Amino acid sequence: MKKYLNLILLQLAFFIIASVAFAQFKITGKVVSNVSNLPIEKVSISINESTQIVQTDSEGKFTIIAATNGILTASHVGYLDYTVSLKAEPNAQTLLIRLQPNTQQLSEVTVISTGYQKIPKERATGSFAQVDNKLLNRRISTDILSRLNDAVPGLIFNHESGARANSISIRGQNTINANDQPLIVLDNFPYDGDITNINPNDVESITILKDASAASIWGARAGNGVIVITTKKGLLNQPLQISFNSNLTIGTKLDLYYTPIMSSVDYIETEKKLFAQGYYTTLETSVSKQPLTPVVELLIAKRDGKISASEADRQIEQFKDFDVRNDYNSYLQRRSINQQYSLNLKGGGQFHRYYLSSGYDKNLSNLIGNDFSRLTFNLGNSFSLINNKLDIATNVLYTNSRTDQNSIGISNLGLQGRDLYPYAKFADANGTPLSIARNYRTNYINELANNGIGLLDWNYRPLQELNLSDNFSNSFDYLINTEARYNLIKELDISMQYQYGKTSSKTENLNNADSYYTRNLINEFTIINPGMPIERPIPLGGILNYSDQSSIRNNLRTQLNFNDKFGEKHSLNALAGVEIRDFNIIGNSYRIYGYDSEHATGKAVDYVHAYSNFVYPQSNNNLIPNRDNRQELTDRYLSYYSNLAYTFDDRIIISASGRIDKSNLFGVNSNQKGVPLWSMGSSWEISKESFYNLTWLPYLRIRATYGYSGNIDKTLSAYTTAMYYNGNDIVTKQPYANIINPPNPELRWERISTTNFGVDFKLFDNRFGGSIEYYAKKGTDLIGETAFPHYTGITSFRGNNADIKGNGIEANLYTKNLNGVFKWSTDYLFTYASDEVTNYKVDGTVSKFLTYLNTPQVGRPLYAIYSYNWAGLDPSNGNPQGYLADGSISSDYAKVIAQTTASDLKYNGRARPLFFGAMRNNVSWNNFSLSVNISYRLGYYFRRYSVQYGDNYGLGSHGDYDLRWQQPGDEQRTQVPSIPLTPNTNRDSFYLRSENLVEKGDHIRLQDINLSYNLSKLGIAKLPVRNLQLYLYANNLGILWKASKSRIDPDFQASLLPRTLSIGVKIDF
Amino acid sequence: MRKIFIIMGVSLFILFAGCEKDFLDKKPNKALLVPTTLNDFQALLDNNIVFNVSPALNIIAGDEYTVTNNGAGLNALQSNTYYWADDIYQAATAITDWDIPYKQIFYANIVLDGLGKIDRNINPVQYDNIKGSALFVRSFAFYNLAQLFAQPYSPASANTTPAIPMPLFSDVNKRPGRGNLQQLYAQLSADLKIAVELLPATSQFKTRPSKWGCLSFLARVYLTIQDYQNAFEFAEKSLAINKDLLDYNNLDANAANPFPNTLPNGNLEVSYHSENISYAFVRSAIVKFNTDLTNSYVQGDLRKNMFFIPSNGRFRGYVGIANDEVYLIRAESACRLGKLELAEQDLNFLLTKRYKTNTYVPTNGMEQTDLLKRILLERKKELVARGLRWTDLRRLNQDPLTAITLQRKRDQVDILLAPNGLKYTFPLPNTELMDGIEQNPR
Repeated sequence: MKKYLNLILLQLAFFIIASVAFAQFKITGKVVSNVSNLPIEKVSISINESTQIVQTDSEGKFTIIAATNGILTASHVGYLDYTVSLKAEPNAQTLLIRLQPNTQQLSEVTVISTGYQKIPKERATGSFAQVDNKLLNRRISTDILSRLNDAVPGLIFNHESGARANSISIRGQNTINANDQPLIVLDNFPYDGDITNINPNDVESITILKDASAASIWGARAGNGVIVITTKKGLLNQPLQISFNSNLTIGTKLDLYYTPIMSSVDYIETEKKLFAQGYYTTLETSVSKQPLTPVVELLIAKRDGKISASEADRQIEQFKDFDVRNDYNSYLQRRSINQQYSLNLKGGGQFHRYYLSSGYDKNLSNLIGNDFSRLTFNLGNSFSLINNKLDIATNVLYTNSRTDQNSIGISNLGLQGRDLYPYAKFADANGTPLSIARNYRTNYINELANNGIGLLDWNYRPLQELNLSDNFSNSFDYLINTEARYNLIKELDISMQYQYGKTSSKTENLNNADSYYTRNLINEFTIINPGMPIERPIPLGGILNYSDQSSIRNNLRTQLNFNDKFGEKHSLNALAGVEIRDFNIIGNSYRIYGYDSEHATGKAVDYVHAYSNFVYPQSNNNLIPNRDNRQELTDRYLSYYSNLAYTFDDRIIISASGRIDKSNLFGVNSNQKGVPLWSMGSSWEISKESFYNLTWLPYLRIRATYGYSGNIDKTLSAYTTAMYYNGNDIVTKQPYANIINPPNPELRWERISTTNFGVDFKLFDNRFGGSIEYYAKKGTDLIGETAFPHYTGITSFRGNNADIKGNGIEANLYTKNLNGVFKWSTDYLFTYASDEVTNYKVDGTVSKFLTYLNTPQVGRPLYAIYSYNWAGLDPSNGNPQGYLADGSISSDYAKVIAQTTASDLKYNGRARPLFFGAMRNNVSWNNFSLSVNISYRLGYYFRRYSVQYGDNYGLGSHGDYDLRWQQPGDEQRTQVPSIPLTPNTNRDSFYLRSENLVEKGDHIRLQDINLSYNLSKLGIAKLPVRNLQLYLYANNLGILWKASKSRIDPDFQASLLPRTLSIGVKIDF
Repeated sequence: MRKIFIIMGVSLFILFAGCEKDFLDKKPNKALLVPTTLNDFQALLDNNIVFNVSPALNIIAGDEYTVTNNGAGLNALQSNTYYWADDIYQAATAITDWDIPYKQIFYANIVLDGLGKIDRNINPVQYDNIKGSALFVRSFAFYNLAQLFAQPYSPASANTTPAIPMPLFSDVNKRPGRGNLQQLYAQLSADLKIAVELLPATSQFKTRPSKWGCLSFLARVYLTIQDYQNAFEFAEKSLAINKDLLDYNNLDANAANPFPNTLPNGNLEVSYHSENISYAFVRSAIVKFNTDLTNSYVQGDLRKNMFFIPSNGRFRGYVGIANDEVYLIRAESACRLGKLELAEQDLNFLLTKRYKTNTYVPTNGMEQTDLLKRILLERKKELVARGLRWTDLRRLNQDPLTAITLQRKRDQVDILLAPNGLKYTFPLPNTELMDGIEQNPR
């Protein structure tokens, strides 16, 4: 390792020296209009078509550093480019440049990256969306992905119940069982590392590839869209630039009162009622000494005469005033604080450019004990050699992050599968940690302690645990890119790129010797026989869980690039290449008992013999938990691809692309066939035609594409696969294996076809413009289930046999409302995204439709909400009512449930928004600018939670308990059922899955506000730095309007995102 | 420079194309093994959750148990089976008695197909053992299925009676038809005879097949198709390898389990271990052993207290293939072939080990029909809950001399199952009735 570091440092030192050594000289000049002779502001001046660009000031003047033999280009929107050869003399030169207006050309050039090539957006026929650096930096976050929120149409973060964190859909979901997340490409190659490892400050721009024409170059992994991340690079002929950015984000505590729960008063009253009915007898007499709440313990003591009735009642009354959420807030929560620092250096000489950055993030979560820190380094160098015929570039990204997870989640504080009582207390008035009931009865534990038989303390004190566990994971991520590009002949380049990526992470979870987990496990296994020394099969000391995972990615690509102009009007851009990719993961985990962190030693245990539980020896078949495990995964791809674009007179473009993917994940037959995924596209810039004369619409371009991209389900295998049981058969002690997958030589990628129509336009002097697109998608060969006769040995078969279709409209528009000193512009994002399952071979069951949002049903969207039809509460007793098969209203829940078929279920609607988007208003005045983002999501539904009475009158359940029906007439004000006379699980299931609890999700949200104050040396000569920006950013501000009357935020049903406020500074030196 | 790039580029292209196959053959997940080695196949065959399990609905449908209280509380499948209902399965989609043997067949086929791609010379002993084992377990599963889901084997009509779907390959996309019983048993006996040659005389664990178990099973198969000559010969061959019997006088009837554990290698009588599918039926408080059966054990017969737990009457004997069955097969075949002396010898040898010492009175010179009836009675008493009774009923009912009518009572109504009734054949599960597979008449 150290050797590599030395090498890198050496390389770095060499490059900086080298770049300074090249000859450079300063050029000054002035740009004026050829027609009016007036100076032109903001003309871009560049040398050798490099990426170093300076702009003219309000007097049309500029200064640029150039090397000898350069070609200087001056360009400005609305004017024809002007080029001039620089004289090979070291003296300063002064130029006067006259620009010829171009009435037809008014567009700004945006360069998009597909990962295989960079092309101007004007030359792309497909659906690309570009998120530039400015938009990326509008938001403040530790990760990069969340900055895509509300940035491009068609892209949505999914928030339905059960959605994974950062689950993204681009143009809806086009798969049922396979991977549903877009492919992330970082610096030209797929990134399979942890996306949180990427420092947003290193990212220059992001391109989203949406349709087949844009994405099919990525072939079998492009079906969910592609997110191409490009990191910052240095620029040729640019003096050293240093940027520093730092911000501090403070967030509120989690709102624990968001989901209402039964109050302590109701809880205690219900416990009393249950106690009187003997509900706790089973628990009280259980051989496993099931834990009981303090109130039940008091009730038992009162019944047994161990405490006076009045004293018991007095103590019980006291509990009614407690709310454990208050303790949780004061002892286990805090305001979150995120700090971010980033420093970067960039610049370049005539032949060499570099980019160097370092970033540090430290986040203290609002849960005490949970922290995150990240250190990133980025080092990029590139050289132009042999008369610019050979380009060599290297780039090294290094990330080290550490996550600490020591918080005690409130959901983890249960009593053997029952929730924690709401009147628990974590500390007494003096702040001394108190114990709460956990695995065994408090009385029993105390009795054992009094007996002094040598067991470890068996009390659980949550506050003490905070310091007794050390759970963290550490991740190291390297990404090394090297690229060589050689100009073979004028029109033809060959390039070779190699990327090596390695992520290694380790997770340590140390349960200290004094932690409850350790004490409890040791005690449970302890053997005490009278007259014999105490025996501990699990030795004293801590318990250390360790796991590590290392993933290694190797990518190698060879590509030919052809660019030529034939005659005046024809030009051809083509590329073809081949790439191989190997992705390998190795994971290990183990556990050490009796761990002594002082000396890093452990003790051996006997994993083979079974032991009796100390508390209830009836349970006599307990093995000491063994966590040894190892995993090895490999993905391999071999791909051939090509892309072609023909341009006629800069007006009409015809493009085509194709790709053949072969992988060790596919079946042999599929690999042999080598079916390509392909696309075709075309665009026509109508406004360039001679007949075009709409002056109010100076720019108009239409595009159309069609093609295929693919998707992969990694859980399937083309081969007969079996799983070895890690651990031998109990009787024979032989290893044994299970068949988990029948062979499927035809297994292949899913295919998604997309038809895309787009129109790009600018109106009224570019005061209004944007693009509107329509698409239709069809997913075929999707992985789905088919029922098989069981005599084949399997009951159902997962193969390429389901279909889905979708279509949508996306608009990305802007208006420039005011353009004077006070500037006001607005960006509008609008998306309509619809989908429908068109073919699925297995019918879903009622319980699946009611449990999983994505149970496929032909003719319905993939994510949908279904419910039982609701016939209101019975006015006489508050029972919920449903319908039987004959249409009659019934409270016989077993019958209602049994007679409801999948087709009888009410289909409420989509579980994911049909319409969504955002409106971003940007205002600037003098040095201030303000940006306010309002987002909306419409046309979907969600199921809220409510009280579940269970067998204990809803003890500890949802706070809707307060709203329940209690007497006739209440049905006018509430739909929450009464407490059932006898426990009835069917009644609960019916109510909780009834349409009564389904709510509209439509809402409009004030997402965030960014306010910044900018100072520039151009404005204030005295400013000691080039640019200075101070900014404030407030995020997750709240809902402005919602359709549902419920207080639940439809997108954050379980818990609200805390509001955050950031303050930051950005300095360019 | 340019040349170097061209050469590098071209050679890379060639390299990619050249190593394509090896590169793509890499297994995606090491734990998800693609079974290819002998050890892999052995591990599959050692999965005794899949193997070493036999159907048990036939035990419920037979005459060993009596249900009281009209079957209240029994699960629908088990109750329907016991009362020979017209629609046994109703809406049930997974019938374990069907699914488990077919899973065994699927595993065996994967092993057999995989063996075809391995060079036997790598390890001939292990190779043969695995091949023999796979052939045995597949035949065992086919046989078990046929006892429930195909009509009884009758030598006269076997070539026209539909058998069961008989996949002999691991490709799940192929759809073999039902074939006929003659084909089925021809396949079974041929496969088993190959297995006999490949398997070791005895196995390391009773969960694994052996020559001994295979020969015993061949005797059972031939008895089922009423080929008594072959049944006799294979019983002889089996006993030539191992003729051990437990002497119940050496067992403690008061112990929690008086019998030595079959696994891994305890019970010297058992040649192949296979458990019955565990239905709640046999543990239900309303299900008792038929009193005709329990009363048939006479004074001095140790089996009554050994087999039936005195406190609750539940069964606790051993299952699978054991030597007591082989003795009874040899005795019955010998008797039917007229070798009465031999038959008596086997019967007496077995029963001496089952009766309290000096209480058993050996038979001597019994007339053929009486001797046969006695052997069949002892067969019923000895092989309790082995899953053999149903097959015996189907076979013996074909001869009026040994035919019986089964009877149930529900809500005071008698339900009868006449000899050779259609309900001696279980319907195929509803999930199977596609691709031209026809339902059994019922």
